[in-house]
Amino acid sequence: MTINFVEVHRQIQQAAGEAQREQARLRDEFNRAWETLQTWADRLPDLGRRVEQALRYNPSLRCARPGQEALTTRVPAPPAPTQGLLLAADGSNANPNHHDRIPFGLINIGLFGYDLGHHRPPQELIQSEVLLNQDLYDDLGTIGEERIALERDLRERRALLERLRDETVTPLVTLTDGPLELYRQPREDPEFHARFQDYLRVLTALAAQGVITAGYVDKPQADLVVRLLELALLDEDELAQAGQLRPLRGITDRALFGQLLQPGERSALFGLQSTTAERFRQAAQGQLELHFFYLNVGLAGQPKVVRVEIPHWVAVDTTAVTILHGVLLQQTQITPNRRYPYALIRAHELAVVTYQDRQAVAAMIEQEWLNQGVVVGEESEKQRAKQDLQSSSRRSAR
Amino acid sequence: MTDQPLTSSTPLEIGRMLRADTTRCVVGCRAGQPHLPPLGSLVRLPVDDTYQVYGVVADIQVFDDGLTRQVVISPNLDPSVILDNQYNRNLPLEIGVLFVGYEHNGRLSHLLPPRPPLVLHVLYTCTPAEVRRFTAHGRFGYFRHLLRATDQPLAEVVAAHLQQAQACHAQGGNPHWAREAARELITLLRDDYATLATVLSALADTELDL
Repeated sequence: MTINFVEVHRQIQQAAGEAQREQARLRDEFNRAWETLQTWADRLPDLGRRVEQALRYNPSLRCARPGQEALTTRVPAPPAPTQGLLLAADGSNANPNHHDRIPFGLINIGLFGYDLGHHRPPQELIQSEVLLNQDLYDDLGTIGEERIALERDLRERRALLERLRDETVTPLVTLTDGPLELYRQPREDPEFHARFQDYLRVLTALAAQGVITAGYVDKPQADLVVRLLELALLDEDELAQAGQLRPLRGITDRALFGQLLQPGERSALFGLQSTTAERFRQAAQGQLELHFFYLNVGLAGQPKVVRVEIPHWVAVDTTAVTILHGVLLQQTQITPNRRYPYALIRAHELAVVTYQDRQAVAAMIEQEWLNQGVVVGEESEKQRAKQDLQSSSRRSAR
Repeated sequence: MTDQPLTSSTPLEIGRMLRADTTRCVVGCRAGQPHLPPLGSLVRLPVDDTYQVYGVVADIQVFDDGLTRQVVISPNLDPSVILDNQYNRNLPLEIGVLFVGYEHNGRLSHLLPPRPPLVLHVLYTCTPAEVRRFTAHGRFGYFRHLLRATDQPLAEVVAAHLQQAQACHAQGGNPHWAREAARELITLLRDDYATLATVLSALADTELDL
């Protein structure tokens, strides 16, 4: 035991006091946000104008854009679809570690197909790719965690597209964990740009096939709608400081829609305004523009609000949005105490790379290197020292 | 209950051995696969070209995990979710096998195998001909291995085994194998009245003509 618990306890006590004060402040701010939501619920053109004005001063502004539906819209749960195919994808990766004998990376994609009509058993597919030798380098040197994560996200979407290419059933729904917007994308180096273009091509192909594509964000921390409401609270002359003046800082959309939405209800559809979202908007004649809605997958008195990101071609298709709404509710009800889409749970289960998996692959690589007379490097002393510590911890735990 | 025949005419690969000691082993296999050997059936684990170990299925355990525990409380389970958990998911089913003999260089023995198979050796079902050959060998010497397993539902395992083996013998033209087997059991258990009574009670619940 190497933690100074006396010191840690003192810090926790102090932080708890601060948290109490912060929560009191947030309660007041929440009431203000709630009132603003109600007041501006139908003033969509005014809000739209404010977004445009603010963008002139702050082009990197990040917030929701009002759509056609009132801000306080509540769409009740539709019936679950009885036909079609839901395909969920999730990815997992092991990052290269230069302390290893042979550095390598691993990307593992799990696909889970769920027949909404129950005509065939669910299907599983795993795609594994090991990164070795020159795969581990780009123009800037050894590839890092971010790049592998981007590759993983790209492969998830490619895998969905490949799997659906010959599928004839309708509707086709795809689900990935997390936003459709790629947070890793804004870097400007050519490799990232190339991968992002690949990603847009995959989305364009999904659009051409009419696939209902969605990104599922569990426990969203975003304040996109709150930021939109902040624009409503600013005076005209303060709009120049939009994004910097934050009268509702700390309030999340989840809190707001947790109060608004009843179980099973979805919110209005919003557009997503951000620098990255702008790049989606400019591609494929606007078909890839990002939209989102909030959905309460919880129970009465226990709201559980998630954000669902969808591209433009889905957002403008009312039937598609209704199908997606129904599918997500059906999926989250399969595990009543978890309220997370079953297909995503299974895709994750298929994709996950455990420490043991990583060790097994490392051993396979080392064996093959030795079989073929390739020189195997050495582990770093740091890694060995860590392993020594781990083995001594294990012994003491018995 | 399965509609599959109790023994297949061709040997079927069922799973691979996880662990063993001198008297028994545990085999892991995927849940939901067809042709799982039923309780009491004769199985074999080939070790090499000259040596294989015979056993009787005495225990079958089906495991759950966190997700199945979540799914099971769902009020309206979709058929797809049921199929997924029964056939797709990597939930192992463990088969406990009591060793009852072995074969070395073509010669059968009802002694315990000299060494157990190793991890990942494959478990096969036995064909009716293999069942006839093993169970007709010697004088039911392998029964003592079954009767020693007091931590298993011994009487049920024995009754199930006799029923399945008799079906194979009847197919081979011997309607009396089970009767002789029952006599041998009575002899072996003559000093253990409690177990004898349980075994006879279980046998009475079979359709064997004893």
